[in-house]
Amino acid sequence: MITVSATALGVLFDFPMPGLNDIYPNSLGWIVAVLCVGGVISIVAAYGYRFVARIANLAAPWMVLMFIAFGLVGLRELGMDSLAGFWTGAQEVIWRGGDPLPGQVKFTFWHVAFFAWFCNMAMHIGMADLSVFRYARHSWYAVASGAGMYLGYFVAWLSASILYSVQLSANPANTGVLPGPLAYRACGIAGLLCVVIAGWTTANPTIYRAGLAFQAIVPSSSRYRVTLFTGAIATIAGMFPAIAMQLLGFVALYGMILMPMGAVVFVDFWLSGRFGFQNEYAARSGTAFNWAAALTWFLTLGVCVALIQLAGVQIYFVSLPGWFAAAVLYITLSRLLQGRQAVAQAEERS
Amino acid sequence: MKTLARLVSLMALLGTIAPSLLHLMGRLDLRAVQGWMLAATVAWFASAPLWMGAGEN
Repeated sequence: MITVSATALGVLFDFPMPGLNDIYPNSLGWIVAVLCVGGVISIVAAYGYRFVARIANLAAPWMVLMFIAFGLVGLRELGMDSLAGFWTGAQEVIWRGGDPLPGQVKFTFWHVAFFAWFCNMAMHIGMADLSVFRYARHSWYAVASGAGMYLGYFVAWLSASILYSVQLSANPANTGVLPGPLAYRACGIAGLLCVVIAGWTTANPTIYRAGLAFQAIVPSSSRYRVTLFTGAIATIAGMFPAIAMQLLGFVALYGMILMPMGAVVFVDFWLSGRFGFQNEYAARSGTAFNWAAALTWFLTLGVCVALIQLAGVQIYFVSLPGWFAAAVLYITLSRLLQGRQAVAQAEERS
Repeated sequence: MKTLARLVSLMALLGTIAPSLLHLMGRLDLRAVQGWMLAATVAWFASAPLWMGAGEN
């Protein structure tokens, strides 16, 4: 998301921006822009949860309306002047199908459906959201995840695809996927601000919770410094289009990596009593290593990687069924490895 | 003061979405849409911090 915000600065300062197939940063301006954006995002994240939440609260109502406005302006620019002609225009102009760009995967309905599930799977199904939700006063606060996904992805992606159609209609040779120019053509400076703030508010909690994770590894370290360090790593990564421009594959990969642990956390908290095994087994038994969790993680990942590498299944389709497989595996392994005494204690408790 | 700020914020949100609707209906050209949206954006970020989250802590 640092990269997304930096594309807005590219419009303002007119420096060359990376293309879809670039691997390395292609201009000094791009490097400086990513550094500036990454620096600000990291500092905000380092100030902690309260500051991150305040920025997000301020931006959210305005940003949602901006996402909708992008789509409405785009429809008009494509020659649609009412919602009546939308369906025909949608089929013939915007989402008309065809071959993908060279080197890109063609997305079918099923790709979109599965991607919608695992986009940010690391945060939701992978349970990384718990780093923020630990402050939630009620369980129903979790609908924020769903609302955020609906508005931030479903609505924003629909609008982005409309704006991309506007770009291709104006110049079929311009296949660049750069949020800054797309937003600027539709909504001017306000559009650019939206791109900067959307990238900023998305990256803020991510860097914040990554900082918490690093601090968990080294508890004596200062959260402020660790978060700045995490932000620095994210900023350097954001300079390389090889990562940012391959976001779909990257998101799919890290979602897949965290997915089994999300299943472990979910099953351990909600289902352990029902299926007759101890929750928080490592803490209860005084061991530093929960073999059931580790084996679930590695075995599930192993099967997923084998399906991708050997059976030719695309990465987009393994994570959703993988979550259920991991859940079953964790239950089975926990019952097998915890021993009769622990299982009996758990059954007594439930 | 907070009431006034809330009112400005509400107007700013309306000013964010209304120009694009008017553009879709052919009532406002693109340059004017962009101008109004920028003004609404400035108004939102100037007024919202005055009431949103104020009183927490």
